[in-house]
Amino acid sequence: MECEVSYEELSRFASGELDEERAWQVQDHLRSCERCRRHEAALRALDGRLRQLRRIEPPAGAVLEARRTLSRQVRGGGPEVMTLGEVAEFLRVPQDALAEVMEELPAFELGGYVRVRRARLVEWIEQRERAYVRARAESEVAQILAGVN
Amino acid sequence: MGALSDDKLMRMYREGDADAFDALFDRYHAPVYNFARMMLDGAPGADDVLQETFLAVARAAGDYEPRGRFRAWIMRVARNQCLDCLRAATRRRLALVETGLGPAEPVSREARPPEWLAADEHADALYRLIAALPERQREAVVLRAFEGMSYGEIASTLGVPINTVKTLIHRGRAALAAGLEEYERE
Repeated sequence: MECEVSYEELSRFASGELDEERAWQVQDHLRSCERCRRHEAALRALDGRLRQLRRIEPPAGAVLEARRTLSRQVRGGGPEVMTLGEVAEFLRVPQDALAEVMEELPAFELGGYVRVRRARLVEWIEQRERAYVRARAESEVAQILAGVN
Repeated sequence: MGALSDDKLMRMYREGDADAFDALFDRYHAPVYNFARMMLDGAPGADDVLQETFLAVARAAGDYEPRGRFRAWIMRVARNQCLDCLRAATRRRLALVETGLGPAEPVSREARPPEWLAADEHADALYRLIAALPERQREAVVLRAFEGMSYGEIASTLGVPINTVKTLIHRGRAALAAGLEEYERE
């Protein structure tokens, strides 16, 4: 005869995920069903066995190879400190275009040479992105308001 | 960098700090490798999945939304790499079969690397039962059992609702427990 409690439902019961009423019914059923008691014991044993499965450390050779490849990819993107020429190239604009933003560019000077740190440059780009979005939104609002008036 | 959150490290990497990416690699290379090992059932490819996953993470760092779900995100990337790997293996096998150059069987048990073999027979049986689960159940069970991921994280990794994850996990657990019962009777 087919049992009223499925193996899957017993798994939910063993994990404490059945609602209270159904959990009581299953608990009650377990008293009279040896087969379900055996399944429930197997589910609890399974949890113990799953915990014992060992996670292995990846082979050292594979980790080393991955590190090497990633290092080339991640660090090969250019120098940490950039010249103005490199900044223009990074931004994909002519170097002349930098003259307009020179005052706000996060640069520093050393012995007469102007340099920019890559990390500061990325932050600066993000600030400009936010300002651009804000300005565009304000412009759209202004246009809508002009239309209303 | 050990105390920094995954999101913070991703942000630092996006700002040009390559050491932050190394810290993420240190944190997640073992989980990614183990997940790949279980998904590929010991077939070759876990090494490639490890490397390709982190390369994909580096490439897609700009798209990552820092909402405290980095682990689910990187495991989703790893999962996609595993699926690509399995599809490529199937294509290769079919091509070999069609040209009469190779066997039709998938990678055999003996082809697994030695570290795959478990220390005791029960664990070995359990590995085999996990490998025999349908793909979705296997993914959900492995993420839960090996990585201790929450249902929400697994849902995010697999791109399915939480209730589906619960069903996958409990069906998987039922199949594993039934398999172990049978194994112990033999």
